[in-house]
Amino acid sequence: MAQGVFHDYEPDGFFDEAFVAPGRPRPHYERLIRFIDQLGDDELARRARLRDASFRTKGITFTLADDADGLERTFPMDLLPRIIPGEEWAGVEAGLAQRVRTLNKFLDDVYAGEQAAIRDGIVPRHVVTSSDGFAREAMGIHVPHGARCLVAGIDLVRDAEGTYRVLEDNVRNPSGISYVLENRAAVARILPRVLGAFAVRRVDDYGPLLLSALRAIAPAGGARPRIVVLTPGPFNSAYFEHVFAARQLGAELVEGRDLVVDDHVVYMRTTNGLERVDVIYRRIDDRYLDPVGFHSQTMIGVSGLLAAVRAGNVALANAIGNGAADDKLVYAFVPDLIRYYLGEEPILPNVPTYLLWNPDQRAEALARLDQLVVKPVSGAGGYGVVIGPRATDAELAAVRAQIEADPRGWIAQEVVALSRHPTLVDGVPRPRHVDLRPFVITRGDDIEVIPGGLTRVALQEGSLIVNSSQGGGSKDTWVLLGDGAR
Amino acid sequence: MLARLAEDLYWAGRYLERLQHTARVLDVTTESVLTSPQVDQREIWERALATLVLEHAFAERHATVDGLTVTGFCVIDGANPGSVASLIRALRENVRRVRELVSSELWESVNDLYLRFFATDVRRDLDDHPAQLYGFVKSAAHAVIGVAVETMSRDDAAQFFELGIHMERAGTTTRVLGTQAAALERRDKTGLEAWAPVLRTCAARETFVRTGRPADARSVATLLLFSPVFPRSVRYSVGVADAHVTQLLDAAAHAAVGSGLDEHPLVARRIGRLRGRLDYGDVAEVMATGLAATAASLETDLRSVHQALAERFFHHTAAGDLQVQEVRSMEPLR
Repeated sequence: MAQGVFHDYEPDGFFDEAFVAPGRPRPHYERLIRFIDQLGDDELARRARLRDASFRTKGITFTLADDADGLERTFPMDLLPRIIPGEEWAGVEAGLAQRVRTLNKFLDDVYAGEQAAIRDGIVPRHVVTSSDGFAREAMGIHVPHGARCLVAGIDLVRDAEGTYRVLEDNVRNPSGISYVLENRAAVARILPRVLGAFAVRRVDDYGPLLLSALRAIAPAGGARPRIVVLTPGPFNSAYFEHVFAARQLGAELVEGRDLVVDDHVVYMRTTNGLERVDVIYRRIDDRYLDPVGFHSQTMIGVSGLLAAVRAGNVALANAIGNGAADDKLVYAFVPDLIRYYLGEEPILPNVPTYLLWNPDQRAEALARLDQLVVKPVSGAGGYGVVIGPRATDAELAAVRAQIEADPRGWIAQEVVALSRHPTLVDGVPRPRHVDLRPFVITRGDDIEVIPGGLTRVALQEGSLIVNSSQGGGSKDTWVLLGDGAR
Repeated sequence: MLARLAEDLYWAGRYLERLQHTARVLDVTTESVLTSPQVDQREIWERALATLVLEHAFAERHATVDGLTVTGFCVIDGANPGSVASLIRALRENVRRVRELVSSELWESVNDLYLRFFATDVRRDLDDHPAQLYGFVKSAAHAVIGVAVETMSRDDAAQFFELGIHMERAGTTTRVLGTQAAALERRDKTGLEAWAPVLRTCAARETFVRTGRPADARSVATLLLFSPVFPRSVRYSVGVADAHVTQLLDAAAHAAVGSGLDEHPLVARRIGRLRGRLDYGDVAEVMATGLAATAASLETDLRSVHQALAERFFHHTAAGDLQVQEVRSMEPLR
């Protein structure tokens, strides 16, 4: 393969998902590399054009928060899929289930239980109550089965040794599952013979799974609960995903103005008058849900919704106040929470994290800020992250001042040398950093994990920021069945 | 079905129909100006603006009426909600909002129309070969309607979409009669060359020639108002709209939803009466009244049907309602 597509591909000392060394693919990548080599450069370029045309025609797009024109962009899917061997995945899956089970228990404990984890000193009370995502409004609201993180997206990275680590939990409104399904569909169209040569676990059970999970939290009584998907509207960056969810569920996609609460019951306005709603899969943040209940200044929510939820007349997924569990500070306590609630050792380790409100840890972190990653605890989408080794002195001084002014507002983490994966850049495979966001669904008392998830890739050379909002791309992610042969 | 989405579909239908109508009006006007050097260009373009109900909006922005300014205003100007560019945007925005209700093929055909239109140098096409540009818009709009008919199941979503198309079509044909045909009528014009632009604006020239009638106000009015078979006649369009309203109300009654909403829905009465007026209309009466006055009274009826539609299907409120309902105005479609 000296002259093949991969002839000058260099793992370069990072953990590479596909290659052990130049010219030496990992065993589970050997066949894929061979297939791609056989296609050759020209054919790969042709397939890339096919992909672009198909994504644009289908309108699989997102918008950037800071783009004044609200321009739609296609989410770039790299043609080279990521492959995860079945056995390796089994460990990840168990770790994800363990983690989400714990987050559900923690949230139920905080909002509807006796706050045992706080009482027993596992998490300091102030850490929980000072979290931006903590919602006093949710106190005392019960959720059937305690299924509060109905859809969770847990961001994983692999470090220099290839160990999967949890980078952050997303249990409010995780996005990306639509791309998982669309990427698979695109690969099936664009590289049919490659996909067809492998036994890859399906991802399209997501729709039925989510539907049954939503039915499981419906208020008792109704035979066939009416489920709706609540979106802020077409101008939301994840609107495509909301449409996709509604399609998968066969549910109405509603905006706040389509719903009205009358006597603590939620109705939607149909062409034939008002019809009762039982379950809302909401893709609106807590604080915008109900302008009355949350005293917000916007009108995108539904007045009286919170009271209807509290009265038990309607169920919300994900539950209100979940931000208390995916707070970046609470994150540091999740391994202890796993031990506390489940009596098990965490299967997936965290990234080593400094709690900056703790004076000792703060002093240690500030002393070596240039070697750490600093993140705002309430941030999302990669905004506000400072990567020490790449920051200028001025940037470091600025973030140091911010930390000293508001230690609760920041965490510092060791830099993880994110694993890399061959990614086509101008038609040539180049190593690019990747992460993985698997999706976990709480269905009643069961935890279900969609095989694989969304592999995000930092398309710029050397970049560690994979968020789609920051110019990241994605990859189809294959979990092999057995050894993947068929 | 969600009221807001039904309204979006209805308006998507209206925008689509208005789009191809606008392209046709501009196409025919451009050609009339080109091929008849003697005519008063200014008057022709003013009448085109009146046919598109854009005369006031135009006058607010431009002092001179000439081909370049009018077509620029009616095709490219994003600040004009009735321009081809704005209509394509509005159409796509509406279809995008109802994407989970329409077939993927419909969305893709609308998106494709949008992408292709905005990928071309419209200003240059307008200068170099306007007929080709208008032809593209017309055939793309036709293709969208065809795709809808071919790929969408005959459910409420399709009904509201087609209802919008036919309500708009009834309105545009009426408007052509009230402006362009009325002007010829006032001058007692006869002969196909005089009436051809009016007929072509309604894509009716071939159909008319096949009737074998002399080209005059009476024959043209008979076809455009009362033909039971010509798909752009006011009678035909209102008939189709009425059928959709009836089916929507029947479906609601069958599902026993909305019972008690209305025993004799206002919308059914209004559109039924209008249909009767057209089904049993008399062209002699129309000629006695005059085309302009007849068109004006039909427009009033169409507006009242539209209002009843909106009340019955789109705007429902509850006692617990704190929000003010957004009621869309008829602009840019009056």
